[in-house]
Amino acid sequence: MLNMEINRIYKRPVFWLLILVGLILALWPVIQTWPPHVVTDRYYVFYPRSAYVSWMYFISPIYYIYVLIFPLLSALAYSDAYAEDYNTGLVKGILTRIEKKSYLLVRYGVNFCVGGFVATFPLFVNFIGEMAAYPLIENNYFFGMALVKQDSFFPELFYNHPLIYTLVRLLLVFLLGGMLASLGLAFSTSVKNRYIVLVFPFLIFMVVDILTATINEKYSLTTLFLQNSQGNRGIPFYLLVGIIGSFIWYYIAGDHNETI
Amino acid sequence: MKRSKMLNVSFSGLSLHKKVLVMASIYCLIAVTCLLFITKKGKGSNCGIFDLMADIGGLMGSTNQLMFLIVAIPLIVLVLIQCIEKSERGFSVVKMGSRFHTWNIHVILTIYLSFIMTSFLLVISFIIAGFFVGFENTWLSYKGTISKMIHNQEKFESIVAHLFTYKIILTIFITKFLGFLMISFLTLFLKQFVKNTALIIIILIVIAGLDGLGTLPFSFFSWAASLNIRNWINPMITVYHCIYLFIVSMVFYGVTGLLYERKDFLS
Repeated sequence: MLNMEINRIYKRPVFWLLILVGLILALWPVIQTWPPHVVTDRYYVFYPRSAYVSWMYFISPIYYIYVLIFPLLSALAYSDAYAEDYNTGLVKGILTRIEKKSYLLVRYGVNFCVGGFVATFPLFVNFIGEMAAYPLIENNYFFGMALVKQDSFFPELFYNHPLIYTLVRLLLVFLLGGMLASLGLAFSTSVKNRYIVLVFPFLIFMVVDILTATINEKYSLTTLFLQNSQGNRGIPFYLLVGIIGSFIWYYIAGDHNETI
Repeated sequence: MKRSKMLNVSFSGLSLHKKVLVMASIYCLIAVTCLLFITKKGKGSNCGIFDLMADIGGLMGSTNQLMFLIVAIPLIVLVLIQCIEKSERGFSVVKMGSRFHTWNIHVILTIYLSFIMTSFLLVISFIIAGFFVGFENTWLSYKGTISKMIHNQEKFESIVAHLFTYKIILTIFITKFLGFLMISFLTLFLKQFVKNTALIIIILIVIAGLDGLGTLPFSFFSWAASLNIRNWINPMITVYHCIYLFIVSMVFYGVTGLLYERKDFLS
């Protein structure tokens, strides 16, 4: 089942298209900030520039577009697979060979990982690209690296263990991407229109984001996961509710769905 | 097919998707209320109804750039494509008789949807913003945001005639209507090459994002339908933007119409 899923993902043109979009989003800022351009830094504000501060997560205007399409990137990769199986009748063929519960579990896991991977891919590639352009100088608050301040996400970690900080950031983005992809998958148990399934995480993300931004901006999804701001209890709360909630919804509804 | 019948077919096509329309209206209501609230939070106590509806920065407010990104693009694409896919099914196409009629029904539907959406957006924005800060047009007074921004009494007096309530509402209505129309026609155009709705939304959001970032020296997408202080100081900018939006919509109308003439509905 797992092999079949991986083969299916490789054969999906939309997956490769998303990887291409991710590459463009990742490499455009690298080209813009390639070393000869560093002299354009006004007053050498980032001197001595390192890969950590050049990362698109902190300074790139392209990052704004990445944030806008983030929920679509994560959902588009594989969230409609269940609806596709159901609509084409492929699910009948699969369920004659393996148990329904293991089918549901593998599908959830693969969709989560693929959604998270596609969503994290631009940030990861951009960091690699910036590493090719700039050295990994140890971070120093007084020399051009004051991007992570007191009210930012774990400043001590950024200055003492910048690589771990970057990995933690990537992990959080991966989990958010996976969570949104899982929401799309769970929704596909109720609605079989693939295109609505793919847009659902985007609409949910926007509504929750704008509602939380209205009530308390500290708990906005974008602020917590995709911006350089202080972390709080909202991060584990959203992840737990989103991941466990979508899993329960998907597992129960999927198990009850009459397929054969 | 008679024109009146084409109108009826288009309207009934939209009314068939009641569930989608209800969900879209609820989403729109929540998003617009939140946008107004966020704009109010950023402005403080001294702001009027039009500061909330069409913030002079061009980004915030319930009818500006953020509204296009959060509300207009996803909803237009979703609703329009649902309706189109239904009317392009085998039986419906055979009933229409020709590709030209099918295309014209899509066009009527597009105009109708843009009009309905603009009216709905404007009405709920006006009512909710009115409840938040009152219905008085503060832009007319010297203490209003525009007067403060210009900081020049003579200049303000020369433009105050453009700031009457009905003129502001009319300007917002026309720019939003043309903006929605352009997005709708672009959606119809993209639909000829891209089947996936989510991909179309990604493309439109990327274009809107690039426009918002000022990639080109002029506004070429949703920013042209957003209103900022420059539009109120020099209303001719709004006129040029409206002409631009209309021409782009007509170009997409013509090109997609030509593509439709060769479309194979069976595949």
